[in-house]
Amino acid sequence: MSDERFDRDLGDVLREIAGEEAPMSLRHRLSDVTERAPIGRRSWFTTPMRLSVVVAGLAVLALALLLWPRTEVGPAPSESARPSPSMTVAPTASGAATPGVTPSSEPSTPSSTPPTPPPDGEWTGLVWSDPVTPPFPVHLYDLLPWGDGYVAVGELPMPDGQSDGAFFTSTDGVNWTVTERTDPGNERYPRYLEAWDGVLFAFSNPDMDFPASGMVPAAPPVVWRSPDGSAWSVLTSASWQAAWDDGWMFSDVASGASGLVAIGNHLAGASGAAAVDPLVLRSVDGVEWAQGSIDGLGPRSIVSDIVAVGGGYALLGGTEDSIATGAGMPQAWFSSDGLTWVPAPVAGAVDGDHQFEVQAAHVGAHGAVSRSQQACVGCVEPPAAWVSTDGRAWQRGSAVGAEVPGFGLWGSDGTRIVVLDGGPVVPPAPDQSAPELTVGRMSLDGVRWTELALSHAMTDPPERFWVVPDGVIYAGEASFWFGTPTFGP
Amino acid sequence: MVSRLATTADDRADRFGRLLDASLDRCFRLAAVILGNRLDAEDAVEDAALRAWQHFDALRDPDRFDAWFSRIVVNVCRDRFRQRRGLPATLAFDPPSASDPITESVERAALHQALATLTPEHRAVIALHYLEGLTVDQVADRIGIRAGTVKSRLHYGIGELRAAYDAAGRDPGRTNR
Repeated sequence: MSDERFDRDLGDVLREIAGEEAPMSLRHRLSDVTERAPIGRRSWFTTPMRLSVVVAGLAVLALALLLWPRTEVGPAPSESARPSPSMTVAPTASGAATPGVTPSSEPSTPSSTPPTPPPDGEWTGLVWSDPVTPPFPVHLYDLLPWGDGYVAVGELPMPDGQSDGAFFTSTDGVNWTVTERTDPGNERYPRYLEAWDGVLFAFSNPDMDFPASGMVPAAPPVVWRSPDGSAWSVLTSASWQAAWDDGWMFSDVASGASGLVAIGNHLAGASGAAAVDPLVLRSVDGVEWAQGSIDGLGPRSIVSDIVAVGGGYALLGGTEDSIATGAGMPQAWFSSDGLTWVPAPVAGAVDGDHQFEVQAAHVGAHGAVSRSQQACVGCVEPPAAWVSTDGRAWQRGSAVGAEVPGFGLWGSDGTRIVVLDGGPVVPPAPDQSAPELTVGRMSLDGVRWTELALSHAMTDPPERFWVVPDGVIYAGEASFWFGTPTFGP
Repeated sequence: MVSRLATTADDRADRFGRLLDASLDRCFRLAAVILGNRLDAEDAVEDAALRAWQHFDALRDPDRFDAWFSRIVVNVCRDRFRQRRGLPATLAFDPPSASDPITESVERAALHQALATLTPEHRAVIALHYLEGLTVDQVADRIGIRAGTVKSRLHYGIGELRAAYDAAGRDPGRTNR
């Protein structure tokens, strides 16, 4: 059966199911939606007798909006005040400057000396800074402390709907300078940032093509190198190129004691075809990559996350045994050198634990936690969580009394694991971006969690956040915030 | 002051209505593919619209409405699946159009059946990518998951569909049993 015919038939079937337009009956049902439910009052809808109260509520809300002083939300302590908003941008990859944006003539250049981390202690709270709103859309994908500031990689949406990849620096975590732009092709924005041996490395996803017959990597991930966080160069590597040819899909990369370790899965294995073992590669310079070996793989094993822990590396994944039922077992491996991988027992794992969601791990100073990656805020049951002191063996969190947060946004820097959430019990919220982040938790080992007192609720819907030695950098949909930690009593 | 207040509330409702209207077709198609039929999709999109309106003040950037509303629709669909727990895992997908019996091939019938066996998460990424033409990153943004997860779901989901499609082509009677 030809790919073209499958493509066409799949498109036809999807259109048969979905139609082209929403039916008029739905448009009619939605015609009064704003009259049935007041903003921010979930339980108040559809009851006609409450309509007058709803209207009054809207009026009060409008009055409050008009009369409320136009200040930022919540107190912003002076000690955490950040510089005024600014962002400078280098010329686009095509040479054209973004309208309204001044090319940066003097990008901030962090020194190569890593910052001195604060003591390995527990935070008791976070004091949010004033938000800094960039003058144009920007999405950061990964971030590292570097020198006296931070380096990040991400994407700059253009007015024409396209995007450039970009490298950023910042001295304060909220005002960012674009130091370089790149246009390496579809999907190949710099997404992963790692530091090893005093050098920064950035990695993109592969340039993926998605014909109906499955995914085809049209080009391998790009690897960039920077000695200073400001100047980036694309690395040319025959071993890297060869490794990702012929149907391999890059998944993740981590830096640890033995260098950079990249992982991926082969595109075979779906549809019951013979599985191909996942791929693991190690390099100390980003150019020469050596292939490792993984013991104890099961049929249709996939690997999804790799972290540096316990003096080596932990590899997380699972088996995807059935698309229809969600059957599959979580799996883990450990390697002290990034090349030779042995199974790490996952105690108490049962079929279906990973629910077809890949695992994602976070590492603290005294242990790590790995969770099934569930997507929704409104999930009723929390995903399974596993804890480990060193990555060599994992236990179900509940079996050791770990009250691992079930939901929320997760971040970690190898010392602290932080979770920001919308409340002690997440309601079946309808969306992921609207809930205010009112609760913070922190752990050094994934087992014992302490609550963080937040200076005020975070109201900008989240994109991502990062834990850094001196706090938390929060990227909302519209602004950047810095959370300065408070320490014990 | 009273008229000003009314205008402010009306403006907000008008703005919401315009944004919802622009996203409606796309999100309805998404819900229909996830849920497998248009009647359930209507209910889900209506529920999502109510929830979106309730949280509309949290959305500061109108350009993000489409992505934001897509997430709400996906989550509402997912909630509806949870409420169906205990029911058969597969869906009763709308049957192929009766007005077009000749062109409905056995392979396409197999695709209908295979789609019904996928999880809602797999159907969501397939709909966003193949029906709406979104890139992996855009799909990840719409659903709020990692790009790697999108790739995995696309890969395995399409693999299942292709296997059913090819099998039906080799054994045309299979899908009619």
